[in-house]
Amino acid sequence: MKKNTGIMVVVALAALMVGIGEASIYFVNPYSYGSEVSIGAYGADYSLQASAPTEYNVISFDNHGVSPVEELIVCLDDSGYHIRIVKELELRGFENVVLAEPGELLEYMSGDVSGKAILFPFGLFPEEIYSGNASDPLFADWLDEGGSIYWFGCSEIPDDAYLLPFGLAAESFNTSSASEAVSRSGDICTQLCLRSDNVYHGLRSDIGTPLAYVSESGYSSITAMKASEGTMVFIAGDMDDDFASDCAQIIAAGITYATTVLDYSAGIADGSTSGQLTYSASAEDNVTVYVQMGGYYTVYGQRFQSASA
Amino acid sequence: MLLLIAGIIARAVLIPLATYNYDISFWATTIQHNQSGYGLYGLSGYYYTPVWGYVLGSLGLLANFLFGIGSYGTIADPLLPVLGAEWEYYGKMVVSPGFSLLVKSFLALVDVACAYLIYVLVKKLGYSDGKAALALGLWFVCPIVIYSSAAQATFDNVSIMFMLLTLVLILDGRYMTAGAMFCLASFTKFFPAYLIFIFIVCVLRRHEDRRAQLKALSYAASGFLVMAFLIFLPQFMNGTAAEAFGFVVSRVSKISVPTESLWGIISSVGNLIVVVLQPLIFLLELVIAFFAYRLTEKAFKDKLTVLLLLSSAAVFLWTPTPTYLLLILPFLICVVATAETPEQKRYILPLVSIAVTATIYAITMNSFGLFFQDSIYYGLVSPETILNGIEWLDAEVAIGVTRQTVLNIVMGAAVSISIYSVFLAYICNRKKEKSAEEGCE
Repeated sequence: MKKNTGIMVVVALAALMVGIGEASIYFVNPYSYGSEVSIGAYGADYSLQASAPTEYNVISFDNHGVSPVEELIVCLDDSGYHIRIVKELELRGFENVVLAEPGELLEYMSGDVSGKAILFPFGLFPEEIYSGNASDPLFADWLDEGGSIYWFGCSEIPDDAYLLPFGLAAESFNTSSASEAVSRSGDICTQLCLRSDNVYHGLRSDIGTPLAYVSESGYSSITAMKASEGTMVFIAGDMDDDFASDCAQIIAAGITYATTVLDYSAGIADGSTSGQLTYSASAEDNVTVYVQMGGYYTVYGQRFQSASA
Repeated sequence: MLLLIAGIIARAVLIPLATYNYDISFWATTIQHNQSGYGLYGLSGYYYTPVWGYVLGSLGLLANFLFGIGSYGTIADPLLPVLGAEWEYYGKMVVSPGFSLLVKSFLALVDVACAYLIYVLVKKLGYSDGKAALALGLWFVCPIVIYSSAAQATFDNVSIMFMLLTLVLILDGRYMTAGAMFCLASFTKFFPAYLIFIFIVCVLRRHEDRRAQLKALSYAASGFLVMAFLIFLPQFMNGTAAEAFGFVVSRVSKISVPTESLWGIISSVGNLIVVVLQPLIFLLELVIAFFAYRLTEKAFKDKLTVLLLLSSAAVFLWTPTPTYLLLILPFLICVVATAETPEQKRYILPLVSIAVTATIYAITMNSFGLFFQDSIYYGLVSPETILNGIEWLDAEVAIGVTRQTVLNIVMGAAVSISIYSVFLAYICNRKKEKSAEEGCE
C-alpha cells in the first residue's frame, strides 16, 4: 500500500487543481469588480473596486455634442457572430441591446434615433433599408436623423454605386489580405486597449477617424466617420475575437466620429482605488467617462456620462 | 543526478529568459474569461476541451490572490512591425514576466510529476532502480520536454501526466481511477485517446477469467464516465458543450479556408492530410492492440513498452506541432532506458532524432518571438535586433517562398522522418527476430 502513496498524491493534486479551477469558474467565482464616477465641471472623481489586483484604465472623452450610443439594435444573420459581440457588451456593462431580423429593422428606425445605433455584423445592408440610394431608409430615417451604424463591411466590399451616398468608392477599402506592419492610431486605441490590427477590407485612414491600428499602406482596422448626421463605424478584418471585443469596447465606451480623449488614468486596482481626471469646463456638457479593467484582457467595463452628454 | 541537475538548470535559465507569447497569451485570455464570470466558452478565445481551462482557473487564483499579479501582458508598440511578416504566429501580445513565470513554473512541476511517473512505470514493469532512474533523467533532460514547458508554455505535458497515471493505475489494478485519469488525459488533449485500444488490452491481459476482465473494464468505463460527467457538467448546464470541441472543428474547417501565403496553403493541405490519415491511424491502433492481445504472457510483458511506443507513434503519421511529440517520448524513453540487447538499443537513434529535430523545429517556428518579453520588459534585446531577425526570416529566397517557410518545411520533414524511424527500428528488429527464429527451426 505504501508503494502507491506517491501515485495517489499525484492523482489527488491533479484532481484538486482541476476541481478548484472548475469550481472557481462556474460555481463560486471569487472575482468581483465595480466602479463609481462623479462627473463635475472641471473634472471627474472615480472610485474602483476589484477583488484582486487588476489593471485599470479610466478615460474621459469629449464627444463634441454628438450623442454616444445608448441603445444598440443588432441586425441578425445566420453567422451567429453577433452573439460574441453581445456578450462582450454585457461584460462592459452595455445591456441595452435589441435583436432584430432584417425585416423588423424598419420598425426600430422611426422616431427619435439620437443615441441609437444599428450593428450589421455582415457585408451588404438588408435590401429593406438600403439598396444604393441616399433616399433609402438607412439615410432618410436613420443617418440623416443622427443615428449610428457599426458595419462589418469586411466580409463583402460593394461596388462604387452602392458606396456613393456614403462618399466612398470600392477603392476606399483595402482589398489585399497580405500581412502588414501596423501602428497605433492614437490615444483611443491605447487607452481602450484595442487589439484589432487586421486591415483587410479596412477603410483608408485619411477617410474618417482611425480608432485602432493603421497599416504602412495607409488602411485602418476600425474607422469612425461622419455619415450624414450620424456616426458610421467601419470594422475591417476577418471577424475574429479581437474585432468582436474591440467593437464592443467602442460601443460601450460611447465613441463617436467626433470623440477625443480629454484625460486618462491607468494603474493597478487592488481592493479600492480612487483618483481624479481633469478637463476644461467647456467640455463638461459632453463628457463621457469609461472605466475598464483587465488591460488587454478586459474583465470589466462601465460608461458614465454627464447629464447632458 | 547529473541529468536532474542539467534539467533544473536548463529550466531555470529558459523560464525567465525565453517566452513564446502566442500560446501563453491565450492562457491569459482564458483566465480573463474565468474572472469575468462568463465561464470558459461564454466569450470567445478558449478552444480546447475544459480540463486545461480548469487548471488555468486554479492558476488564475494563484496569480491574483497569492502572487498579486495584476497585469497579464501588453501590446508593445516597438514590436508591432512584426505583424507585417508572412509568418503570423509571432502574435502581438507580450505577456508579463510574473504571469509567464507562474504558468511555466507550474508546467515545470508537471514535468517533474511525469518524470516520477515514468520512474514508477519502469519499476512496475520489473526493471531495476538504475534503469528507472535513467528513464526519469532522460525525460527530465529531454530538450523538447524542457522547451515545451519552459519556453513555449504549452500544456501537452499535462495530458501526458494523466496518460501516465492511467497506465500506472491500470498496472496497479485501480481501474476506476485509471478510467477517470484516462478521461482527464483525453479531454486535456485528444491524442492520448488514440491509446484506448492498447490500454484496454493492458486491462484485459491482467486477468484470465472473462468475468474478471469484464468487471475490470466496467470499472474503468464507469470511472471514465463519472469523470466526463464532472468535467462537462457546467457546459451541459449552460449549453456550451459544442464549444468545448472547437479546437477540432477549427482545425478541420481550416482545410477549406482560402489563403494567400504559401505557409497557409501548406497548413491547409496538412490539415487535410491529418483528416485523410485518421482511418489508417485507427486501423493501426487496432492492429497493434490485436497483436498485443494475442501475445504470450511473457512476450506481452517484454514488449509492452514497445507496443505502447508503436501505438503512440502511429498517432503522428502526419507532421505534428513539435510539442505534440511528448506523447511518444515517455514510451520511447522507457524502451531506451530498459534496453539490454543491441536491437533494443537501436531505439536510441529515434529518441535522439525526435528530441533534437522537434526542439529545432519548435525554435525555428518561434524564432525571435522568444525574445519579445526580454525586449519589452527587461530591455535585454533591442526591438531592432528582433525586427531585423524577423525581416531576415521573412525575406523571399524564391518566388513567394520565405526563409521561414523553407526552414519550416525542412524541419517538419526532419521531424516526420524521426517519427517514422521508430517504425523502421521496429521493422529492422522484427526482421532480425524472424530470421533468428527461422535459424532456430
